[in-house]
Amino acid sequence: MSITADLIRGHTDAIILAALMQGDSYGYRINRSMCDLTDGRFELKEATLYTAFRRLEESGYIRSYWGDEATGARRRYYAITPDGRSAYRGMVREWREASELLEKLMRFGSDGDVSGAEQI
Amino acid sequence: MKDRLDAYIQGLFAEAERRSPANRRLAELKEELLLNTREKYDDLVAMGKSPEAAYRVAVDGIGDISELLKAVAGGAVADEAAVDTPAVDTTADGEDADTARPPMAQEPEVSANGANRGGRDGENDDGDDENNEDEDDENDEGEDNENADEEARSGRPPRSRWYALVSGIIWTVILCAYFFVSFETHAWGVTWILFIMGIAADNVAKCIFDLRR
Repeated sequence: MSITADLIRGHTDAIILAALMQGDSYGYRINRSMCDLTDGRFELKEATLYTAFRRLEESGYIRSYWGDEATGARRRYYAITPDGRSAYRGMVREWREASELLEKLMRFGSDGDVSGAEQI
Repeated sequence: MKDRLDAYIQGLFAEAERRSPANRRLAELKEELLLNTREKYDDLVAMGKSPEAAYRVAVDGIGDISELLKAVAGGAVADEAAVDTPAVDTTADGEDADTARPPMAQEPEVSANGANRGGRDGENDDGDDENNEDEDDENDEGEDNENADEEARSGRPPRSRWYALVSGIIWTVILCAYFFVSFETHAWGVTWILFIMGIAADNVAKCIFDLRR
């Protein structure tokens, strides 16, 4: 549980950018989509979400704007920028490389059987 | 119950707003949090949760916003905001009183394996680990906060590390070139112009990094 949370925490920015690759969205909708996608197993705290929004906006990876009230409730929307798309692709590459390495390292101790690692 | 939710969020921001009145960014953050939390509450109720349970889940989902308030409002607001009790009714029952408190510093920021929407299961299983996680969090975000403080003080974004590196390289090269050319040509009266060129090169680098920012 704690390892899972740690792993996920390290990729908060990538997860948010991934959600915004689908289109502009706002805080709750992004969190809700993460929750739905993982069958309720993962959801960011609002504090983490807004801290990440702020960090990503300062980095130029996303931009925000207030939605038109005429289309419904007033919302602060976030949109991914070209720099953000590029950063997202880089993060995905890094993650694939890291997960491939981890997979090999984990299997190393369990003779090809990952579940065996839990018995060590 | 929605009023209670609003009061809880108002309470979270009260100290920061008192310290930093008329802060547009703070007001926008509060509005954003209010709207999103209300929508979450509505969804939870629509999904069949009782108003009380929906309130608990919505409040638990906010987490510890003290660092965020510190970054947005600046100054030492967050330390006090984190321990202030929001103006909210916490007397419904024992468990409610527990969950209606503002989030504690030790509360994990990320919930996984159904810790949030389904309730609070599993959030406190690994107390020691979670404390360590929070320390890590503080370390991770410390640099961001320093940058934010610098930004707040100067009114402009902090210079990047890359600019500092490039600037260092420029001045090292200029200094070496100055001594090399001066000793080779003995034209000490002219070679000082290299420093003017260094200033120009440094400013060009600075402009490039500012534009990129």
